[in-house]
Amino acid sequence: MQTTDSGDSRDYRKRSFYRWLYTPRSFLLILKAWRVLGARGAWVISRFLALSFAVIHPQTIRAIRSNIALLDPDRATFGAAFRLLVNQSECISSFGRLATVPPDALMGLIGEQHGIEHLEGLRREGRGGLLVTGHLGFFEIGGPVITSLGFPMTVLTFREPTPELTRWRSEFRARWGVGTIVVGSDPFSAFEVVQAIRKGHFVAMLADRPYNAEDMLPVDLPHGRIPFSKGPALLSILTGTPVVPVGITTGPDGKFCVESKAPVFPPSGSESREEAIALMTKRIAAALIPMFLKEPEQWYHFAPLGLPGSATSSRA
Amino acid sequence: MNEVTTDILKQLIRENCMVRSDLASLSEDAPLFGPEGLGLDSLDALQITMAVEKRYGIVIADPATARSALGSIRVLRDWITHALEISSRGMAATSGEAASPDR
Repeated sequence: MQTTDSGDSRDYRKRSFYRWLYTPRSFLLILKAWRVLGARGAWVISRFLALSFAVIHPQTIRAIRSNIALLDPDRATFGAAFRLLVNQSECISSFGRLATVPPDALMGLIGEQHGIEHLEGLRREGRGGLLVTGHLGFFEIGGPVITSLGFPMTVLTFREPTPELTRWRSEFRARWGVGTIVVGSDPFSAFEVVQAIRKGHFVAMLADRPYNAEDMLPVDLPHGRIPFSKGPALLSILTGTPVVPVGITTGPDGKFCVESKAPVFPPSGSESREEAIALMTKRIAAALIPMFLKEPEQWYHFAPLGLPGSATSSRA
Repeated sequence: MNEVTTDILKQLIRENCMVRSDLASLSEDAPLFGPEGLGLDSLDALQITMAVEKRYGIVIADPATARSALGSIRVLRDWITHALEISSRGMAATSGEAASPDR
């Protein structure tokens, strides 16, 4: 969970577009635009922005295609990369949608739900869990949805590019009763995670974009390998809390589909800690990767993910 | 089992943390966190507290207690020693606050 800047060229936070987009002013603009233009306006603007971005940033299109090729080379087309940009634009505009929907209408945005019984099972046992997902779909809505389903929820996040945006997004989540723990600058932030878990909270975190070499383990995709964070496995092992792999994607009808897989429990064998972390990380990845495979155009990575030696890390 | 020495704590850190520098030559007073010290991160902090709990039976449960206990190896050694003294006097150290020496 160390989040000091790695100097890695994969670090999307250093890109000018990201720095421009990830400010409170931009998010407020998105919210106002949604209120004024509504869903139809968002549809048009999303496509305009995606097309503009695709034309101006061909290297990003190449990176997206190379990432999709790790899942399925046959789907790593320009069209798929463009649709991914459109989907990402729509996700960003969904902040406006989420900001304007009344709390009692939130569940109206949700379509199919699979595996919620896994969360209910943990709640019945009086425990929370680590909800681990990837940069898949509009994962930000997961907090409000899980909270609305009656599960106390806290989101684990890295620092945003500015403290103002970190605070703004925390307050945005708080409107829905979702807590935020910011990791990175404070070495004792992990204790807040432990406290939340001990209170029976479900703590959500992302696993498919580790920030530095010490925090990652390579996992296999069908056509290559990517880095995966070992933080969830380590937290799980240290606290005895199960990991629940989850994913939220947008369906063809525009509704959000929620999928929860069976909990992954810390190994109870005689493995060393490093072996246990590796084993558990692979199990978590194995549960999440089919979700990425199902919706590669909603798996949002904009720099090449493939590790050196990957079958497709330099293709597409 | 309840002996608290600098060498034991260095060993505990070596076994549980991602240490990037030479622990043997580390000063007792060097900060465990931050670039001017050992450079441990938040998961390392958690691993140290879990190891302390396992070895000494003392729970460091909250960020404030952890912050006061994990300043350096000397601070940690003194903190554990004090917590064990309190515990041995019959004040059960069943929570971070209960075990936390007043510093």
